[in-house]
Amino acid sequence: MSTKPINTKEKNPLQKATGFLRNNSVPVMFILICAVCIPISGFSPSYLLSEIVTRMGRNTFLILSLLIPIMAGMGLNFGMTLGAMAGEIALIFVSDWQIWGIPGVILAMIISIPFSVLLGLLCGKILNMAKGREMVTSYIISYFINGIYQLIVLYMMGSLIPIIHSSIKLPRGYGIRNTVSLLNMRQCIDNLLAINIGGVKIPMLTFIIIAGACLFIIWFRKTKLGQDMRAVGQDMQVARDAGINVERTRIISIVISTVLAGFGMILYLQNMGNISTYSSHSQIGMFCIAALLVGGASVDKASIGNVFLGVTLFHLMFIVAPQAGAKITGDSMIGEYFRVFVSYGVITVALVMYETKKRKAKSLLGAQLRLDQLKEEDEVK
Amino acid sequence: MKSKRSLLIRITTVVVLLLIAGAMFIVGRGHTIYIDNKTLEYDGQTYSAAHRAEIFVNGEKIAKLSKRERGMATCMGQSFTMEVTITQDKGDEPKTYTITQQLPYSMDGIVINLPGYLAGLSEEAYLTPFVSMATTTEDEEAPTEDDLMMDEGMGAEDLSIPSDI
Repeated sequence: MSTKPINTKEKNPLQKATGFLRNNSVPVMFILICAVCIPISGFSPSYLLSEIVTRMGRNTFLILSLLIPIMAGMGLNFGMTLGAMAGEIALIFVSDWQIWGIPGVILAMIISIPFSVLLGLLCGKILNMAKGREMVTSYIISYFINGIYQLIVLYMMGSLIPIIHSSIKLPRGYGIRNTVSLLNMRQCIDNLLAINIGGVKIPMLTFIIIAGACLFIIWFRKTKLGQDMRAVGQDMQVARDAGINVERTRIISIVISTVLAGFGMILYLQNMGNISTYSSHSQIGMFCIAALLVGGASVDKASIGNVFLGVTLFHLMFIVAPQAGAKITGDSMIGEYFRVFVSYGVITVALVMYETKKRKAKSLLGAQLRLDQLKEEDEVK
Repeated sequence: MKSKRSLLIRITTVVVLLLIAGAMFIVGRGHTIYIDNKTLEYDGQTYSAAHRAEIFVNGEKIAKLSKRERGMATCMGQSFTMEVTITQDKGDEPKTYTITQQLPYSMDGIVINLPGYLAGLSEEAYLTPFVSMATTTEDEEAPTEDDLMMDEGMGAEDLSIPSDI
């Protein structure tokens, strides 16, 4: 059977530019929004740079955790919230045991691993039962596990699970307070090896850790398991025929993502300096996914470059939008609503674009098959 | 053979992680040290407070204590070292002591009585656990339905984005 493409014409520069804009419409749109909002907001470049560097250190690791499931063809892992919950539970324990500073962060990361692995296994198994519907399934799993998390944190901690300190426990004797202070480990990673350039604090150790995670992902792609994941991501049936254990590979990708999300959440919270016990994790998946999509990623393709571009653009918009909204309309809430609208809107646009592309490719393939069949019939005649 | 090697690697990884976790437990254990410059009565003897005591930790002055005053320092690990400059009575020449104290793992807050320590008394005389007198009301810090996002499901509250993410 012939596999010649239908359209073999060379593209002219205008078509190329249109194609580029179509493929990068979300980042281009955000660049335009930021270009308009920055002068209106009136923030100084050094302030914006300082905020972006802080937020990049805080969020990048979390967003990197989304790359591996995309590679395995499982789409955007809304189940990263599970890893975030594992990280929070680990931090609650470490806080109660009074382990401070960097040792506290390292211990929390180690403690989060078994929780993340267990939750990742559960999530991966369920997602294997819902192939083709991974994103919505992982989104609902995160709500389900959030219920279990609340049961554990609100009723079991302090009663069944020993929690000693009254500063963490609710006055009734069990359950964890709304806010757990991480003052003794606040920005311990960010401050170590930090350098100050023109009033902008650059958290070098945090960036070294992020660089380590990037290198891990690059290395992982080249390993046998990484190649298997890419094969599974491209076509599950072909991968299965090639002898790859598809289900196991998919589960491993979710487990790795959940563990990385747990680490990312610990880095995020050490920067913030406190845990909002019942809400820190609830929106984190949404923000990370929105940021990744803003960086030009799609449901089936994402790179490290998308992560960095996404964090920069998404958070730049987050910083300038309320102020710009206040300046334009006199009401800062407009900016807040705009941020909400954009966060959810960008996810919707990305999903619609993904589905449109998929259908377009399918119809192109159908047309190609029809042409081939007609050609064969002509040859027979 | 391959599975044996793989199992060995997994076991080694777990053991290494457990060892690191154990080390972090010891290295990162935080304590709050309260240094009292208060007269101590022990075994019928009186150990009087110094006229002035200056406390330095890692070269940084953390407290300047008169009689009946308390200073505070934080410390990670099981050993605490401070430099104390004591002026016993008004007009006396100040004397500097370097104090290294092993801290009990189980105590979060530790009170060290300076006159007792400098008199060379036993640990039970000068080292006591700190007991917080803070009280809280019943409903303080209890999560509300909004915090738990109960009954709202995907309601409007879910859509709010904290300003500092």
